[in-house]
Amino acid sequence: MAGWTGRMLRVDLSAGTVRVEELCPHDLRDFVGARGLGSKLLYDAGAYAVDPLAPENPLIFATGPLTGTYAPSAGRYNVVCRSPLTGAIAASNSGGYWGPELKFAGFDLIFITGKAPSPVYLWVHDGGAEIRPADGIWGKTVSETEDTVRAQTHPDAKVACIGPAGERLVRIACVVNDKSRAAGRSGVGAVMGSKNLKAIAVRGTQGVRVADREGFRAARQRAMQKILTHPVTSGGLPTYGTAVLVNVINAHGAFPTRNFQTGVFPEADRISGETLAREYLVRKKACFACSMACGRPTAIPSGPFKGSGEGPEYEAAWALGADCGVWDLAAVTAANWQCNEMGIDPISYGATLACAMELFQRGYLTREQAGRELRWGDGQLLVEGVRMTAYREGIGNLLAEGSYRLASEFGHPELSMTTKKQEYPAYEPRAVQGIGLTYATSNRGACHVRGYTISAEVLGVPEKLDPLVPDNKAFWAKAFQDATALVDSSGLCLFVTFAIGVPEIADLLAAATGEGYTAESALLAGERIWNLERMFNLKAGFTRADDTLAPRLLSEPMPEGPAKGQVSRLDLMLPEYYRLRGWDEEGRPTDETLARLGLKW
Amino acid sequence: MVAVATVTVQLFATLREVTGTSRLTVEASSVREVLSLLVSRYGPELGRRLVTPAGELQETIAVLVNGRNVRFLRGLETPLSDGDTVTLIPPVAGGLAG
Repeated sequence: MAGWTGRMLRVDLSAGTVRVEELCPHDLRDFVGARGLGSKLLYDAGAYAVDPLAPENPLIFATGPLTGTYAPSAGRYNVVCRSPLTGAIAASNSGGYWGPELKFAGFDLIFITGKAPSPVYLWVHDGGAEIRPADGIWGKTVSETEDTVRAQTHPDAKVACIGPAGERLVRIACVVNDKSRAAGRSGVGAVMGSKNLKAIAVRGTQGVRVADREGFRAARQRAMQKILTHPVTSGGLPTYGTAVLVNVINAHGAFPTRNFQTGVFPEADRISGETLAREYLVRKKACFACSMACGRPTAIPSGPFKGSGEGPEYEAAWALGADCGVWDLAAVTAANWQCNEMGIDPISYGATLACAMELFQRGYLTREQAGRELRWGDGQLLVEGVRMTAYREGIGNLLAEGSYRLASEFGHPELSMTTKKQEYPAYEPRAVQGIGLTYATSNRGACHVRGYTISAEVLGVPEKLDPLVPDNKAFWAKAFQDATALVDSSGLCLFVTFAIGVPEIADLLAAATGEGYTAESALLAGERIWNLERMFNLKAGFTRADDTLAPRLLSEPMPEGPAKGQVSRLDLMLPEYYRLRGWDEEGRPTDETLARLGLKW
Repeated sequence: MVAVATVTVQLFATLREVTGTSRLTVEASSVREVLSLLVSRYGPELGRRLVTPAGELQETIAVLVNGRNVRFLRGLETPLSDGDTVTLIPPVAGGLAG
């Protein structure tokens, strides 16, 4: 077998057993790897029917066939499980060096069930693994955990772990690897915590075999050529990182501000990538086999937030910044570091705090209930709140539940800016119509990286679409979603798709695996994966009614800026989307669609 | 006779490096005039980034007038009024994959 190792580790933490198993070759071919393969195994395990925080919920760490090869930016893995935040399927994607190391150790995937009687970590090394006690490690922050686990295993071990947030089942907790790369969304860290699993350390010394070495070299060369000459992947991203988008999105009136009360943040430039590069950027940092190096190690030399860490990236700069009305970049940066250390998703944390601030603004959440004032722009609160959320202290215990449960607790769920209980990322659906459709239909709840129509609607790649009109957005949302499902399953970073498309990715997959992928069959695999995720959610009880947006976005006209007067026209886009997907009016794949994709209920 | 408007020009990312500024005020009646003024002030390096040898907008540059991309207005001929904001955006990218 090439590309894939063909092997997985099955870990039962209740029984304390570890077993090596062969993966089904048909599953590998049809669901590719990482997100797709993990979703297939999760579906087959019937996880749609289990409590996300119960021992029965499988927690899957999955790489793709390109992970660990020298294909461009091939360092990704996914954490797949049923989400405790949404109840939907979760597949959270991370970079760094952990995923490739798992391949080097001889495994495509780790499938974990059960709950350890006391805290443990998993130590995976060439061809085998063992469960070890984590007595002295439980309770530590992410960087402390990583350092300690490495000291107990191997100096070159790569570590993925949870922080205090995951231990306390915070529903917006993430899994962090390499100290600052996160499988960030949907609360996958809480599932790891529910299993008493603190960390997975991996060390491998084998390479990743490809089926056609010469073909792979040539396909890689063609892809690299495009990545190294495209202005986004060779210029914008390496120079400024993702936070360069702050000013761009704000200029379009699409920068959600103060819990989506408007789309314009007058102080945006103060938290922009340009300002970050000038004030706090230390250097650029790359994940495995990546030429883009969008990572941003940062340091604040003095003042109340003095310190060092990594980020913020665009989404975090927005959630911790504009969404909370905070323009102090030092506070935003320090809060991001805290999120890394505590193991919290900065998007959901910032958005949940923003929701609390609006509840406070409107008098629905009082000073007495919150234990303090929750004022827009309070940088000190922003930073302290991360720790409070991780440890469930004071108002942090409510923030730990995410914005939907928070807003519901105080009787105003309509103020939660979520779809399927997951917080929106950093683009306003009233100002960019297609992204609203993406949010509404994303299988893991609101998400920008499940179909990044911003690329076409704002950045003009691969076509220039008018962000304010709903026409044809269903087509593009589907196209982005299917292609992204393929990319996420291959092991490549989504950012390569600014420069290369499905044909280049299919060439890499074909040469790596020898499975004869074509652009058509690869894209069909992406569509298959999307539909399987949809089937999971339908079996989990989701319906057409869940494919929606927060009421504000559908009925309150944007108050100012380029999109003034606009609401999301999801009502026009969604029926067209279902039709293009081959789903019935209730959003269920038809028998013909399933047959075409080779899927069965 | 087209009225000349006083407009604010916003520059982002690499365009700030080329010009050494993030914001300036110019007088112009159309987007084309704004670009001409900028090129005459900041030189041919900026010109190469903004327009093709044939005088058309570079594919990779976005120009907004009050937040609307001029490709969906009247392109370089989009007229300007007093108080308008013209935003020039070089190729960028983003989104936190997570």
